Amino acid sequence: MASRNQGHRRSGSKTTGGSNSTTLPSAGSVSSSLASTSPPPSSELNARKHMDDRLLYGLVKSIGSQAVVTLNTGSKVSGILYTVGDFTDDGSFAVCLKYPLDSTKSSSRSATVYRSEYLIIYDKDVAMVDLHHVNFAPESVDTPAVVASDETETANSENGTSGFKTDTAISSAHHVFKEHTLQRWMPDDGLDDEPLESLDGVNDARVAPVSGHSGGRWNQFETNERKFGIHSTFDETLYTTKISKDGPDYEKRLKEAEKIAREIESEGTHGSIHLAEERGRQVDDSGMDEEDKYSGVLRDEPEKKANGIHRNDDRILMGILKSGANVPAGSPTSKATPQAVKQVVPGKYATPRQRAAFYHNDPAVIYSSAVSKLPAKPSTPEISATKVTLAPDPKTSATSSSVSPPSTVPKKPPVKVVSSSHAAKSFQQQPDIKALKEFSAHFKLPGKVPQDILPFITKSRAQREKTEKGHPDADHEESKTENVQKSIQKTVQKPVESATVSAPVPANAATPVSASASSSVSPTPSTSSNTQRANSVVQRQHHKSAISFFGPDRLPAEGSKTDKETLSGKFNVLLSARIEYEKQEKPDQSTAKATVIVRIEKPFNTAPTWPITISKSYVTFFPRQPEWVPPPPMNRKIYLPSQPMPMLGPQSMPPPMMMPTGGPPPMMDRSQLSPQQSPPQLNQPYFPIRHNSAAGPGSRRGSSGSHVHHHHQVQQQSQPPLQQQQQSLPPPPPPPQLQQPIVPGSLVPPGPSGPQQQPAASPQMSMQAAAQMGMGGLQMGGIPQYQFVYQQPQFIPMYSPGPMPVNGPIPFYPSAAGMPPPMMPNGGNGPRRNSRSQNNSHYNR
Amino acid sequence: MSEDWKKELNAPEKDTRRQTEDVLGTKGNSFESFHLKRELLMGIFEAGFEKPSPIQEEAIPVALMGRDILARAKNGTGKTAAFVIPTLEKIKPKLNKIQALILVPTRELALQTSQVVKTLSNHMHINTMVTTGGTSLRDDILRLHDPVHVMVGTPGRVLDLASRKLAEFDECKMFVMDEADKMLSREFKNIIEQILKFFPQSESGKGNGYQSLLFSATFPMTVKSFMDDHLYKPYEINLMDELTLKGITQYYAFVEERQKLHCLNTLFSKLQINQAIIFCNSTNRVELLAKKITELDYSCYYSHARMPQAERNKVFHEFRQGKVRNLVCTDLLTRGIDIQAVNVVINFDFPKTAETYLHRIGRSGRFGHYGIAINLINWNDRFNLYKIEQELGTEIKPIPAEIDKSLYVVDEPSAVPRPFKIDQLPKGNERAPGRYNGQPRQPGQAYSQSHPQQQQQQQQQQQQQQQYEQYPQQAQQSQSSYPVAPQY
Repeated sequence: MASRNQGHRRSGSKTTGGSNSTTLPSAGSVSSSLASTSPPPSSELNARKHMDDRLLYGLVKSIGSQAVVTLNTGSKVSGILYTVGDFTDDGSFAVCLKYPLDSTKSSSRSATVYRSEYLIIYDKDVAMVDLHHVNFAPESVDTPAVVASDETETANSENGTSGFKTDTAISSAHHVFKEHTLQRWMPDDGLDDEPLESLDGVNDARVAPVSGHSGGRWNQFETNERKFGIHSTFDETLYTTKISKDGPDYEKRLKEAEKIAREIESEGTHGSIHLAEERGRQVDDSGMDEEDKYSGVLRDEPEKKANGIHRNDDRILMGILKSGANVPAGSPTSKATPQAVKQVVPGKYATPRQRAAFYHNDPAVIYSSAVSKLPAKPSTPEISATKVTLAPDPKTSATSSSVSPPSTVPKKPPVKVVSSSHAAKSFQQQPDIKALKEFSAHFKLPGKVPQDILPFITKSRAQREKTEKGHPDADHEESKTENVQKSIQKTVQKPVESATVSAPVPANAATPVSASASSSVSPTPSTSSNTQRANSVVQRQHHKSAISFFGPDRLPAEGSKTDKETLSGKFNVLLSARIEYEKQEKPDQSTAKATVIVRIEKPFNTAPTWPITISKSYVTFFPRQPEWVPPPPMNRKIYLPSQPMPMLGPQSMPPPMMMPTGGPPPMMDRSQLSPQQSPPQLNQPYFPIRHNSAAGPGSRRGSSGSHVHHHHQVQQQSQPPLQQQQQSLPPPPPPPQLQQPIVPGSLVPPGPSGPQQQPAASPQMSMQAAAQMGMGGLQMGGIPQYQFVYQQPQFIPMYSPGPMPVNGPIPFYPSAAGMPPPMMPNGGNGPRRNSRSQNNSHYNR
Repeated sequence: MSEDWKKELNAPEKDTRRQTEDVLGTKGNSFESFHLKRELLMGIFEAGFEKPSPIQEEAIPVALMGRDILARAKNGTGKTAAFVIPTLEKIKPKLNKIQALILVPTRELALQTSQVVKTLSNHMHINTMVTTGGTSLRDDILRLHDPVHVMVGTPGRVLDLASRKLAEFDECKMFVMDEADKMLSREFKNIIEQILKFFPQSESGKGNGYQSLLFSATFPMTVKSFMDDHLYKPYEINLMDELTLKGITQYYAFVEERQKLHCLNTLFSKLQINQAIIFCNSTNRVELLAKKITELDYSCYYSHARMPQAERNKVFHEFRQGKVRNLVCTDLLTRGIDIQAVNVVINFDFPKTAETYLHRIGRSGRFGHYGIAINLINWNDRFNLYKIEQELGTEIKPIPAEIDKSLYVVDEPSAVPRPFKIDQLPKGNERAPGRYNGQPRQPGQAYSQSHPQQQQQQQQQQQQQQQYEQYPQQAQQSQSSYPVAPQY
């Protein structure tokens, strides 16, 4: 039991390990010892000793402060931490509170009154010790200059093992950051009457971009020459070599060079934006500003990702940009809004919030910034033919000259409407014509067709009426466009049934199809027919009709509303859940609505930003620039100068301890904040979700290896006291989230082991601050107050409620044999004297 | 006897400005103590270098030994010369092959680096070639027909030339990357690793067949993986125990977005700008701001990556030569650009990363001189300000009503070194009479009164030498500090 506790303690602390462990040498050594799964006993002992030292340090530093000790029973005792008992070899210790008070507010039991002035609590009874405003700063502070110069010397020495320091490693040596309020700049009095025009208009997309090589642009050279008489004298031979033009073979070389240059410049760039730029291609890199390109170092995920995912991202981006914004657009719900990748709005000023998107490395946010803020209106003539329009409006289809006007007789289709897109190439490579034809059969107009298109789709009013006649039972509430849609869907079944390649397509069916497909990208093989073109559109839209799902001969009776709903709702978890819910409700109305349990399981981890799991290109989800760019993720360090933080008493908090307000509650794993966790919670307003214990939020921890299992146990067992604690504490302050493994890891494997390694209970102590401040030797002068939470991650339910009686002698700290005073501040004199002189006396009472 | 050659040198006028510990804190070596070639030493002294800066003192001997180097030193403390000098020392002029490749992230920086190489190798009879995108690839191919000893370029173009065997690196024993952190950013790293495949392989199988020198002022990320893969026992030089330059004072002006131009105009009228670089975050804003500044009657060029390279080169060249007083640009010119006369950097828009900020403000205060950086902060930038302050461990103060002149004012602009022989001093801050003349000064509040002696002296100078053009803003202030009409 005891050794398992040890395992808990260490695994728990491991999962809270933070990312900033590199700044501290001591933390680095700890994490390295963490890595070994089966360490030799000596290092194991060492590690435990380190752990105990830190705990002891933290506790000793907290002597004299107000402590709230949560017992295993869930009750709480508050008092002044008077002294700390010694750590015995098996790791047990005790805390001594002066003037103890039962502060368990929620307990209905009669509040226990402690008669004695002192209360000693053994660690096996302790679930958590909560201490506020602890000063971890060492009393004697080294001057920063000494530290800095030492580090510089080690870095200069060639075999310095510390490695090359990053910027923050250097700046942290001088870190005296103090929060301050910004002082507003006030224009001096004289100028107020002459306000200057601001550059605000730049953000307005209506302002025509000045850049580009159009003639109407402001000529800086001309202006400066006219106004200030500045002439240009640039001569490239000042910088580079001169081309010798007098060789006999110069002409020949010139031609040769020209040829090679052209070859090089036409090569593929393998997705590298830099290469493309150097070859003189105009790349719409609106996702990147010039800081990203020329100055900033892209903050990367680990190397693997840099080689894999990101290059792909680059490639995708390049593909989208180069193919002239031929984005596969359209979703069943997009209502035929033409979507276009942003026509270059060069150098649009991005607000810092938008720019912050790059910090996420969130492709969604980055791509969305590459998408125009102004969605092209369907009817504006500005839409160029290169843009993808899902369902064309009259003007676009008219402007794209290659489109034959719809007629009853299918004309010879254009060979290629838009060539040279990547999609076209890959499409042509598909050898399976049969599949193409099948697709052509399934074609259905996605979404609603705007009213103004109808005349183009159906040649005449008469025809439309004819098609409507085909569905006398059609719901009148449905718009006419849907009727048209269905008629198309119905009529295009014919080729499939006939299953011949050269099946003549009924004219009235094929015409609307071609009309709708014409202005969108329809790269057809040269032998294409109208149906194939339509087919390609369907494929690009990833829109599967009922036929493709059921097969042509098993198609359920079309036109009925419920079927359509079923089909459209099948793949949406929420929709299907609601359908099921409604079905369930009908037979038994008495069932309370609120109690219906819909269990939604996520089949796989989706990317963080889009909640829908339909297999559509994410591009379709970001047709326009979002008005709201999500704030940076929670675990980023953010300074919130203006917001009061309840727990952060002093204004100056060091960065690792900084938490955004509303941070995770105590003991909450960081991974709980991950987006994978959030959907169930988000869904709760709509569908009450009952987690069983296995599927609860605690089970999806991002921990690894063999510690996972134990960690879960710890988490779940420790939850009851936690909740109690949160309820009873009036303002639930998020304690410092400890991201640093201060415990030297799960060194003790679960299972029985030697008696030396069996402490009665092993505390999980979140004391990053202690580890950093005390062990790391980092001086934190002037930042005196921390919250110090000592938590024992075990909940033993069979314990009798009530406070713990003092049962026997505890070896207090100074009397322990062979226990050196490690890490004692001030040489350990203060606590030592205390415990010796007073503990023994009160102890015998 | 041995010193005779020195007398023949055409050394420039000595730069008399004060310098900080950033470049003065040396061990006291001289360039002669490195035992360099006479021709190279001549180039060094003709370039106006007197004694090595700390980074040069550290890097040059080690690089001459043939070790790989990974070095960081502050902006403008002589990194370029620290790798160019050992590179040139190792060049064999008789061998008509590319013997050194210097890679930089931007085209302008390539031009500048090449110019430094050309200046230092002036007496060595070697050829230095720039090859970057945006210029005619055909011309570069033609240039490679003639012997080239040192190639300076951007990775994309170099890779294009190397992969076609147009530029051959089989005798290239020196591989240099300036702004190494940016060069190892993910968009460049891949290209660079491909370029390195064309470099000579080690015969013994140990180490590389070439020497690598990596320099930068910032390393926001660790470059460990590249070090492990491509450097052999690199000698690490870190001369920074703080990130920011000692000579640069940083201020912020917390304004609303619409006030920025107004604020900038006030700064123009109050500050004694020798030359200023103003950074914006988008190309569009760059152009508009430059236009606005010329409309305020200050000479101003702009540059950004969407301009044709010919125009970019022109802007860069003229601004370096000091012909134009203000330059508005994007982060294209954030890294490495060395214009000694710049004493004011204004972040019209605040950058998003700390390294960008550091490089931007490092455009002033070159080579240990003094300068100021002024950040216009709007409400949205405030978090970034905190973040960058914290990451750099520096303090950005609110802009005071008057800025101490000793912090940035260039006393003798004509003595500031220029890349090429000076033909003109910057123009364009003189204002036409009768027009809006900036901030009227309250009597008694005039900050020029804080240094009465200095001002008096300057006024005397002005009268005596009629150097009105060199002190336009100063003259303006001295006049506007009296509540009388300016006398023109």
